[in-house]
Amino acid sequence: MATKKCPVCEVPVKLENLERHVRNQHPRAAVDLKTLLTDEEREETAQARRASARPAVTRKGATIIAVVAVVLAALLVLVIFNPLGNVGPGIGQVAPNFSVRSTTGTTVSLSSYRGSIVLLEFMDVDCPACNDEVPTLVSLHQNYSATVRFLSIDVNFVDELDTDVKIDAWASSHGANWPYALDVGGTVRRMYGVTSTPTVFVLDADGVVRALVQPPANSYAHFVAAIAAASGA
Amino acid sequence: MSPGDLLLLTATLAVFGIAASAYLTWQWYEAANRTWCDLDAFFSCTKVRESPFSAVAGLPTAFVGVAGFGILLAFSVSALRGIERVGPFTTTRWLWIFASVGALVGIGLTFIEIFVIQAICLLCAIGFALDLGILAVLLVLPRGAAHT
Repeated sequence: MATKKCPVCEVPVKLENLERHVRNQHPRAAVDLKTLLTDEEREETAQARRASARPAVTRKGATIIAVVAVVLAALLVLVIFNPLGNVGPGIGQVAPNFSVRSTTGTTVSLSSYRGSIVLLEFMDVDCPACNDEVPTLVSLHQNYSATVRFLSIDVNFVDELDTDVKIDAWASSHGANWPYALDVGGTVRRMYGVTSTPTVFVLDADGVVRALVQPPANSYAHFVAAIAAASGA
Repeated sequence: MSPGDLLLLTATLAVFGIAASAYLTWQWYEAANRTWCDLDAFFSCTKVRESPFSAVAGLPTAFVGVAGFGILLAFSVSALRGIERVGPFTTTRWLWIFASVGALVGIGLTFIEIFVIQAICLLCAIGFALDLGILAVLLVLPRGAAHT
């Protein structure tokens, strides 16, 4: 903090104390207090006053806060991106085999579909996007069922628990007459790393994933292209 | 920890609150056709997002979190800069007011999630926990902490 000589006693006094010094030490002096300091000097004292009023951050405190920040960042990354989650088979990888009980009571194994292209859909009858997609799948089934096998797995993400009866009724109402199965316990969903519905894996005749179809890229044309990729065309 | 440390911690928690709420807001607009962060039927962000409580006057409820945490950040930074008073109240009092309002809103929304929607959105829960964390920090903050 700069100092300035008192106009009365000429003793150097800190700028911030000068007015008080003149007022207290030289009460009878004919000094205009308003002109004691220039505008720049007043601004300097105001800034110094504000700086001294700022709460100090200690080194230990800053370290603790940095640790808290790192922990929170890691937590947000885990929740948003889930890097530790099972990512499931990627394109070019063999789709894991599984067996499920269909809604009609028969056992369906993915391996029994080898030799055909497979559209393996993960859905939920209560999922709005799944309801939007099913007409497309019904059209595909009408046109490709001779060469493509369809299998839908209800992963029960949304609303109350789905049942075989509910799934069957839903499928019938949409004209979807291929096997549906309820993923009891979420086993198949975890195996495939499914975190959203609808998700459709398109497998080639050897059971290798050749395409993954998800909204918004799930139009009829997208599925046709995926089937073409699976057929090696 | 010193008052300055506690205010910086408050600001840090507020920043992460903004981040979580901003991401939820973005997801509300972007994930309109997909389920998201659904672990099972109870921990289901979709169920929460598709409920009537996910928006207020056409704006995603998460945006309220962005604004609320933004205000908390502004006041904690002001206090760190030595600004003791804003309007009729001290900056510390303003922090108390908004953190308390945030906690009340969070309690209400969590109650609605559990008993009405019957589903929990994980990121929403994290945002609520951050606000409670800010309240806990303010509990140990000395009065007049903006001015040492």
